[in-house]
Amino acid sequence: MPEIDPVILEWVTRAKSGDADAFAELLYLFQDPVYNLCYRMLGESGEAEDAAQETFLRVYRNLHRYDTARPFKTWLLSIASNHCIDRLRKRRMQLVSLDDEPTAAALALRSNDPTPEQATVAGELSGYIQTLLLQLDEHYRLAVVYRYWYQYSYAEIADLMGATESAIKSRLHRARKKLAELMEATDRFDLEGEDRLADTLSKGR
Amino acid sequence: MPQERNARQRMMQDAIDGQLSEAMARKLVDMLGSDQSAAREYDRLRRVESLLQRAPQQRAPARLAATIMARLAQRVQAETALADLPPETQQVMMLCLSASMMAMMPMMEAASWLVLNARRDPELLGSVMIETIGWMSLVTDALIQLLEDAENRARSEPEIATATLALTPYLLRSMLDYLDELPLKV
Repeated sequence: MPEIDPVILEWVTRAKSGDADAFAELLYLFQDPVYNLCYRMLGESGEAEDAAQETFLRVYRNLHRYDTARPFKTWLLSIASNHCIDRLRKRRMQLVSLDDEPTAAALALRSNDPTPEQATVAGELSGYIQTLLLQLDEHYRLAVVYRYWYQYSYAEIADLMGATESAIKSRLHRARKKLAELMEATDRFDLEGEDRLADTLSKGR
Repeated sequence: MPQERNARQRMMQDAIDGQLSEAMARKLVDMLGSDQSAAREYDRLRRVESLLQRAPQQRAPARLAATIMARLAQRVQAETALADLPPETQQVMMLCLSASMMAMMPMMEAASWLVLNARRDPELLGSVMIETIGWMSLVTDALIQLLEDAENRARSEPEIATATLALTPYLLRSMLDYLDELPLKV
């Protein structure tokens, strides 16, 4: 389990006692990981933004429930993922198709943003991965997102998703197998194309 | 041989996770050298791994933090305003909430009954869970919206709270009628 950051703990303690500036610090620090998780789970930038907003509002309301023995980021991401899964269930209930093409990555231009070329290529890669991800069952998708975007171990993912480590391992194995089949079926990304993307992205890191 | 195939796939996945012992790694190399379809499968899995390892982070829109802070400020303001409501109005609002919760009890019981009866069939249980969670979410969201609106209005017109209490059973009935008309997919 990752160590607890004392600075984050200090901000959480201050936010609990109503310090808006401390909450804003938490918000600025974690907005990207929360938004990314929502986007990867929901596949649409507008809905991801709504979900990220709702996540932070829930976090603010439930700060008193946060167990300081756990990393704050883990708790925050578990709230975001539960909210996204609720949204996906509601979406199914409302018979909205999940097959819509996901929008291309909308990268806001900031001072430390990649160059336009890198942004285009990153957007292309991001969009392609998103198309594949959206075809996975939501629990498989979440396991993949935790593993590859947040580098959580199997044990940490199991803790986050309330499952056993072997169940998570099996879920990830099946997800990778399914993704391999989907990649082969699309054959849009040949090896040469992947290498080109990798080269351009690595220049931006 | 499905068992053999599963063992082979497990070995490949463990190799990708870097969890294969030296002896097993040698076994895998031998197998990949002698079985072309296994080698192709392993290559596909490695491509997936490589693609996911490079997956870029999606950054939050620049306005996100400011929007959240503005919404939080509004919420704090609303909570402060609610605390200023006359105690009688607050009590009536609490009664509204309790009445709504009681009225939902039969629906909760029906949902539990459905789930208990569907648990022998995993496919049916999955559909029932999706349906019941969907119903619950719809009704709960509608109630939250209704009570929030009533709280806002009660600030300017305290008698609205009583009217809300009187209307709650009819609104719940309407919601149930609406759910009744939805095509059941179970």
